[in-house]
Amino acid sequence: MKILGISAFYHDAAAALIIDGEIVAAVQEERFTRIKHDSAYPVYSIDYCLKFAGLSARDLDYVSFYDKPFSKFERLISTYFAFAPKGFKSFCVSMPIWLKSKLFQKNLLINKLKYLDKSVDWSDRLIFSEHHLSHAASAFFPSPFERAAVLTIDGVGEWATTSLAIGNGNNLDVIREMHFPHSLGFLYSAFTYYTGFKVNSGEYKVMGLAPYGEPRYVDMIKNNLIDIKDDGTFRLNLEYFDYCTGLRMTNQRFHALFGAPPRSPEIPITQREMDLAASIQAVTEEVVLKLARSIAKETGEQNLCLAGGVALNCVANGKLLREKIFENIWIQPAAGDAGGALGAALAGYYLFQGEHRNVVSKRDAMKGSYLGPGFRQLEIESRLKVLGAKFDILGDKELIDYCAGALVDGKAIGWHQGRMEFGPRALGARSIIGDARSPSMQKLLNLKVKYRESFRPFAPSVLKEDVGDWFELAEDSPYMLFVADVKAKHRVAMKDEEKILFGIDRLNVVRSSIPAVTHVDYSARIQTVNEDTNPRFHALISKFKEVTGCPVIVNTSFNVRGEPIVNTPEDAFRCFMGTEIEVLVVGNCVLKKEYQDKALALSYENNFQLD
Amino acid sequence: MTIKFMAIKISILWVAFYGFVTPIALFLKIIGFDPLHIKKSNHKSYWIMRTNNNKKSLPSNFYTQFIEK
Repeated sequence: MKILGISAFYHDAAAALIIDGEIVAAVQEERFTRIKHDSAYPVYSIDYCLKFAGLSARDLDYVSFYDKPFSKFERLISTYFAFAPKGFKSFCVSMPIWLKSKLFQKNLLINKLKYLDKSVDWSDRLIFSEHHLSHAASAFFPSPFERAAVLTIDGVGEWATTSLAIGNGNNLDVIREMHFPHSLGFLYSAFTYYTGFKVNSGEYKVMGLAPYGEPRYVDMIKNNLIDIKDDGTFRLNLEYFDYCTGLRMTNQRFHALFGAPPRSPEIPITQREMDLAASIQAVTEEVVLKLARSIAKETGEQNLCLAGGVALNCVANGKLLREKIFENIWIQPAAGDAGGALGAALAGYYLFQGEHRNVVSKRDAMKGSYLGPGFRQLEIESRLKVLGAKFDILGDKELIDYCAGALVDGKAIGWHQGRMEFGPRALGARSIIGDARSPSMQKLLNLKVKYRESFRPFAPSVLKEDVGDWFELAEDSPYMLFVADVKAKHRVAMKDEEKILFGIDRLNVVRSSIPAVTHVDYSARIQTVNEDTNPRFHALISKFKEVTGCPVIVNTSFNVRGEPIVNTPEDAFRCFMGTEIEVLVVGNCVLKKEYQDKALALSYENNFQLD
Repeated sequence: MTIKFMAIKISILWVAFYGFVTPIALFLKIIGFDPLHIKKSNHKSYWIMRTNNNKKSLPSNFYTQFIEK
């Protein structure tokens, strides 16, 4: 049984292929088109999935779309009926799009699929999952659990913004929901907008900004914007939001409440934005923890699976883990809409087809999330030669030795190895890596390599076997979805003059022996590296540990601000040449910046729309 | 041409919104219709129970583009 899952037409289009229940391939369309969060029909992703598996389109038993378009339209119409005469602006923008194309998504999809094979009757093979069911399926079916409560939280699907499902074997029943417009995802996005970041991509920045601030607006938010019940369910006060009827997230009343208009993008961030970020982060954590507690109590389940965009809030996830509300937590690494493609395919396989599910109890079924394109050594060499790159080819051991040495020398390395990650995080296949012990590495990577805001923290990759020695985390975190503190023994005591620093001034204080990955509150967004899922990355960190005694390196996504993570060796070479990355390693090819033809360097910094 | 087309388009949308959607919306408001649960509530919980949770596993539901109620 071969099922292709598709997500598209909102943001983060993707395709995923499962064969007899095994997740074979999954990739986001943005990686091919080089348009961040590309929502277009994922033609390249589908092509990759089929080619990887050696299939033609006619071999597919079903194509499963990740949501139900008619129900989305019903929600849209209901919103206009609920708010009219307000809402004309939004009506003018969305109605023509829906009437022209979105309402006919089935035909649109069938016509697109016909490009793959005209002779197939795709209307028989095209199925539709629900948005939150797709998320829930992506969280439960690949998890290592036979039974689990499944909580999905995002902006909105058709109607649902939050859902609770119970997974058992090959069954998954959504038992309760919260509906639009009451959305934790939209509340967070409202503050993302208000603090001057881009909605649907800047939420990470708000999360990263939060530790610099004080949650002084929590009461204001809870008294005015959201009514949170004891069980974590909530309703928003829509008098303060514009997203139902307008084209923005917040309205004048919201701005009056917080005493100023939204921050314009790219103007300096002040303590106010930091405090707002800290406040909405605290409220989000309160909702997530209350929901989890009530779900654990009511369902009696010991395992929890999470998905939906809010499940990418790794600070909240870390708190959930530490509270020990559930014995085990598993989060889908592609928790956003891209993961909906995978969930739709899995829902098709287990719920639509009723196929048997084998649970791999020790490990999940995501294969480390390395489900995207990979390149063979000979192919890499020929592609690099065409580009005019100068490179050495090293054996496996020499390569590891060289890279560990370069890290010790303080160099930033572009690391392009194996199959690309599925999901928003770079997990050691398309990463920029550096020495976590270096006090200057965070600034170097932010300003000269990534061209992004200096406040943003970097994540550590740590050998799984050493995580407990360096961080307050006993569990595996292979997908960088949990935040935990650096262990006290690795922290550096702050001097008196450092203790009085506030906000962004705290950035440059060395607060641990791994300052490049230690946030201002001593937290870190941890990736544990497993030998079985990424042996080369594991070997590199092991060698780095052998040389330095430190099993932790900096790992950030291989891209610049606004650019999708690199996919091909060509993408990697362009990013390498356009930034101050000093070494690029693609497969066994090592490229040193000083030997490259400077004429091949692109003006890279302004090549991408800022996110 | 483009400006003329835009003007016609916006006029049609204006008539549709204020001539059709708004009167119905006002009527629905008068009779207490609240599809988005905007009004404040004293309920202990805001969960909405799925009455059709078992239906979702039915194969026939996967062929539809709407959620069965």
